[in-house]
Amino acid sequence: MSNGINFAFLDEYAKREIRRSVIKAICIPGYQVPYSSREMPMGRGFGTGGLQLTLALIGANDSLKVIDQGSDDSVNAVNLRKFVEMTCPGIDTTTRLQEATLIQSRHRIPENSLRADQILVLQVPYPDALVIVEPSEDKRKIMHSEADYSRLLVKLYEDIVKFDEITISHRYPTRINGHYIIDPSPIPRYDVPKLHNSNALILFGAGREKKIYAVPPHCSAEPLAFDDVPFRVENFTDSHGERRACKQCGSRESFLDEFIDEQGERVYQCSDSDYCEQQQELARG
Amino acid sequence: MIDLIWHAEFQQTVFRCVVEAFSRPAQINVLPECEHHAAIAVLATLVDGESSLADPHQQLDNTHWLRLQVKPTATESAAFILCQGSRTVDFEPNLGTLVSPEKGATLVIIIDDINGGDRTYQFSGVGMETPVLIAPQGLHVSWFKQRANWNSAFPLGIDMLLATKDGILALPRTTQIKEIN
Repeated sequence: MSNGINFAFLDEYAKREIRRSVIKAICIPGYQVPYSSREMPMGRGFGTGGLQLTLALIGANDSLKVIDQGSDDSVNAVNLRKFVEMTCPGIDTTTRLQEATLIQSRHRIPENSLRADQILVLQVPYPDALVIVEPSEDKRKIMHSEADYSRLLVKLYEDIVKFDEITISHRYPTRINGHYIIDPSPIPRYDVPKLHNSNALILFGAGREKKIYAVPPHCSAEPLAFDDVPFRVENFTDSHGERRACKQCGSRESFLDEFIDEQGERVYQCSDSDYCEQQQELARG
Repeated sequence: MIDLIWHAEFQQTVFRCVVEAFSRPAQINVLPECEHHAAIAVLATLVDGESSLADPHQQLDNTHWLRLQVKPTATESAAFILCQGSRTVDFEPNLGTLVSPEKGATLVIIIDDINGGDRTYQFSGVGMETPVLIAPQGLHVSWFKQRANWNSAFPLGIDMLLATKDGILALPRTTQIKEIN
């Protein structure tokens, strides 16, 4: 290599270890496989777990899309994309979902559904859904192995008693393949149903916490709920009962971000910038 | 000149095939062309000195061991076990522990062909929209019988990768296998 760096930055031993962990993560859906997360040239918490997965997967034929909170242009996405471009000569990057073979994302699953030939990598800050009820990792591992999630259900129940509502807005605990409960990374509730029976493989990488886990394609993913309190997603209806639309593209189906514009008005806009642009292109014809 | 399977670039393409294979069990995946058996290409991609490998049926020669940079390990504790499918099962692999099920072994089993065998099996489970029928050739009947015992207490168990000369088919522990008459 002319610049003295191995293709995809990581050395081949590091890649092989990540690859072995990825295989076990797919074989045991939802189980957090420990791995020796490598030091990356950026701070932990900035997507190093997702990045290491991307680097262990990527090859010359790949086209990579990097998203941060739905946007291809925010700082985290731009920097990660630049880093991969720099260390993986020959690969393509794109902002269009349809052109990507590998998608690394922070906090969102793309609006349009993924294809079977695509892999989604999600960056994870806190991999263990049980951390809010049990501080000891040793004990959490035993609880996971026994699929003992009673304390987590009690936490949700307490929410309902206090607030008449489960108050988890993102990182909603989700049961994978009827056994392990995962923290699906800070995606909004709106994205949780996309994990269920997905066409694409979804991989989760937590760099600081040194864990890799997966939701394989066509695997069940059920958000925790009660028979009489079903799971519900974000509500985008206004005071007249109408679904709010994106101010840019007019879509009434997408996940919306709320802004205050220069006049002090509340406005709504698609969180997925690529989806929004494609909707506008369609409208222009 | 080093054979293709030991090159990083080639191993990346093999790895993506292996990911595809485990994501979609019972699907036949053809590896990119090389001079070696698919089983060796998979081991070259996943095994190194930090991992462990057992070869109970003596499928590997000395050059393979040197290149893989790994020492032979007992089948009971190896992370990867290379097996000859035509033989009967004659070992007990590591099934992992309840808190560390990832320690369950990966069995790479050499078979003659994915289809054309005497017994037909139906595969279903994670990764398959509908059940798939396969009749592996050169796979002794004891393998799937033992697999059912090994994998009877999820999450404990082993993951299988059937390898022909140029193709692979994966059976993670979540796959249910039923013999069809």
